[in-house]
Amino acid sequence: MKRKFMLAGFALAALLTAFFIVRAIFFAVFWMDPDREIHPIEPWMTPRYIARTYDIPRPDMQRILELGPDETPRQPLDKLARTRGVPVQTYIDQFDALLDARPPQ
Amino acid sequence: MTDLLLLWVSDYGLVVITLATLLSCFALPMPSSLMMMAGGAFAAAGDLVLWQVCLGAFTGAMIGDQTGYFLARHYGADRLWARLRKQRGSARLLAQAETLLQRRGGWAVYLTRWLFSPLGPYVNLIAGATKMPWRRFLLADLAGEATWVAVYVTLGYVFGTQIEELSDTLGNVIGALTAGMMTVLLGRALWRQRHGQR
Repeated sequence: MKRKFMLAGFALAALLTAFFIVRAIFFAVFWMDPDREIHPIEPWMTPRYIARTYDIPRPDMQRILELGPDETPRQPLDKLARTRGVPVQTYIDQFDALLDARPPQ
Repeated sequence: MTDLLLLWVSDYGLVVITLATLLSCFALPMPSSLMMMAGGAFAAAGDLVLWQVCLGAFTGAMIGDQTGYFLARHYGADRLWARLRKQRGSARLLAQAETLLQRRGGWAVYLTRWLFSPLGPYVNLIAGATKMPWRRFLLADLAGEATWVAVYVTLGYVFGTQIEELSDTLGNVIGALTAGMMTVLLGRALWRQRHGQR
């Protein structure tokens, strides 16, 4: 009886191992895909984080977000847009336009 | 869900990271490793301070683990364990588990903090229920959580641009390692049972 439980546990653990290995490989392959579409700019990102992640010069970032030269608020894009009553997508679209206009490296 | 949690990290910072590591010690489904990586990434961008991210995550994890241990030790789980040990069906298995924990308990605690992290919450409870010496538990817990925090915050700091992809991959690697370890342990026990009883 106990052995049956252990065998079932063993089979389940082996199945789970295989399942996680397949998933890990899937996500690793997905991660290596360099197409920017899979790393979109998202509302949780902060201005500084966006500038660093997408290699956007700080003045360009500040121009799009209508910030002064010394302003790098520690706020997510979402909150920044909401306090100004602007849809967050407006800013994301402007960033995307900037990135698309850039010559491919 | 992930995006909402990341939004909280960028909005409220350290408090969210500390709460995430604390809750994850009670086996609540918290992507605490992703949130630590986000903390590291925000630190790299200059929005958070690196040592504060580490300290916040570490504090949450320590409070969570110690709470689990003491709840199990002082609020009933020790009595439940003692009773189960007297029952014929489970006595041998539990006695084996206890011996193993007495012999290798420090390592079990250390490795389930970061490498086999899904098992961490249960190891806290078992350590408390079997009255593992608190000093040994504490030392292994300190070392293990320090490793966990250091690894993930550093990964976030270095791979700041790809934390979501990294977290998806790494989460499954940890899952495979944990399930693989269980497979090996169960396989070994089955093998021994078969060859030892004949």
